[in-house]
Amino acid sequence: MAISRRRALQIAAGAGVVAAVPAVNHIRWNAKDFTREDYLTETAVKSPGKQWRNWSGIERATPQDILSPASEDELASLVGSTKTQIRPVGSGHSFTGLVPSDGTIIDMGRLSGLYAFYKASQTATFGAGTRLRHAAKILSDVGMGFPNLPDIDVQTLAGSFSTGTHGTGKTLTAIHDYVSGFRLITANGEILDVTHESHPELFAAGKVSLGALGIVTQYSLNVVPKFNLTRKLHLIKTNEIIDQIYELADSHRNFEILPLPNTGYSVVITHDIFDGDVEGREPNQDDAFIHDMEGLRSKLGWWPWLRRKAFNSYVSSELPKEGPAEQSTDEYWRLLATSRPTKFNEIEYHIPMENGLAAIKAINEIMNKRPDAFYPIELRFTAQDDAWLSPFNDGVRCSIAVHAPVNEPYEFMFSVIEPVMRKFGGRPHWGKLHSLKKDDLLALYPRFGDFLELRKDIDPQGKFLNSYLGGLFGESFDA
Amino acid sequence: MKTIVISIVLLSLTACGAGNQENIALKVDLTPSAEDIKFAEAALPSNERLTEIYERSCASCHALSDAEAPLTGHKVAWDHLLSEKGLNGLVTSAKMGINAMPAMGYCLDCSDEDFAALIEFMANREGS
Repeated sequence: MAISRRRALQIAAGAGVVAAVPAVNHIRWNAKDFTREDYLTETAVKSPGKQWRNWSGIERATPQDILSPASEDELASLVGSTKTQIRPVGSGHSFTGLVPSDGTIIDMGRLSGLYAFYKASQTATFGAGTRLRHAAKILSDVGMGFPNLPDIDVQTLAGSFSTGTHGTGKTLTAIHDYVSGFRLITANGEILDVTHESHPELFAAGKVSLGALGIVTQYSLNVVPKFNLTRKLHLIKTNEIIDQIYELADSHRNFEILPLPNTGYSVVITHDIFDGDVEGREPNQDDAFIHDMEGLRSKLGWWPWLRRKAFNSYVSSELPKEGPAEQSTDEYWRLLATSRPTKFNEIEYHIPMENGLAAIKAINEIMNKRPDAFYPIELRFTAQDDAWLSPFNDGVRCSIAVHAPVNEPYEFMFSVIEPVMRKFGGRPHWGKLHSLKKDDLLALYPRFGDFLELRKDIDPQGKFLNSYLGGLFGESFDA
Repeated sequence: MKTIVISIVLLSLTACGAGNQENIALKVDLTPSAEDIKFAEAALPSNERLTEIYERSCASCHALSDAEAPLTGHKVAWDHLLSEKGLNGLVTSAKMGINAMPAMGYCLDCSDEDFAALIEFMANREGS
């Protein structure tokens, strides 16, 4: 774009205010504090010590120990000998209580890097604590890559696989589906090499396990020759594009749509294979754009009509009449994912594809009735795989996500958004906000009962449980 | 009356705008150049142990301009931070978390000395 989105939106918001008449409403809205009451309490703790917090800060723990074993043997010995509960942690990007423990939190960060690479079979073995971007860069250096990536790439392999983390692409599976084998340390310190051939049930359960079966120390992954993509971003009126989501998902390798609440517009992002010489990604404006959407909310949230007009004038005057607002070509891992500078809290449900359109329309309508809403809604597609707890194990699903800035209320995700997601047959993202318990999950996942039995067999004392997992699994837990 | 209220709104907005411009004028330009970005993508500490930590914990954000973290080797940005907080202050920021960086900066095993050494490397002061 010739002009930055930031500057153009500032102009549009300014023009809107000049046109404003009910100034009292404007002043009243501008005095509004959007910060949730408990946010200052969360951020007030200022001694790291043995405290742990998740990325967004809403989950925290004060365990007896936070340990970072340097080797698999050290970890196996530690797991076998420790008497406390144990929970593993990757990058702490889950919004649910998967990690907190009063016992021992085991950081996987030092079990990181490429352990083996076999070009002929296109397989690579990584330490389970390797972060996605690190792994993608290492693979790129040897000419290989992952078929897809999620849009955040600082998570570890173990953390992202174990929570069913995914990117977008109707023919592309979630990233845990790249796993061809893993090494698991069980509750008694035993080391198991697990493949479909050696342990078919444990393999199917362990790819997405919430870290409840033991601690995975390394993964063998199926990889592909690295490839380049062209990324295109369009801003289109939501009512002109929303009915085309299935066609767009069919015609692009990676497609996602992000309806922008209270603007009438959606961001549409596509990625397709690019065979020419890459030019590199344009500077990322995503976070600046989100801050400006927040600014538009703060200035004009009191008058929805004017807010839409201001955004419309920005689009009309500053964006190209035809073609994408942004276009870049680069290696796939430089385009598909970022480390997301702006913190937020998030709910995401995976909806059966046939219900995806109705669901995104319903969620968009809800968010458009909330004048405080400005964070983009997100819809992505993911193909089917066969892990027992994969949300995608019964067919292609549309993942719909709603975000809230880290310092603003998110209770509405449970009270307003989640019931709609469930009405459309949604399964929750394991690492994002939801309120489901054992009975709900038994109804959603045909193999959930099998997972619970297998978990009890492999960890009868519940060494890898915490109170959150106790709730998910319907097991009494008091530690 | 309505005219007066509108005038007050516009006046307050104009005042805010002028203030912003003043602040912008006083700010140091911390935008990395293409050369800064290229350098950050390739730079590694000379110490093998520090390299291992840097690659697994720091590079995902500090070697990547899109992450909006101060770029490795971008001396202007780090000079600005060091003048504001000093080395000890930056170590504290890493331990407590700041902006998008979580507490302990994706390195739960790092000591204060490790953080200081990593900051000195990223600030282009390794060995100084």
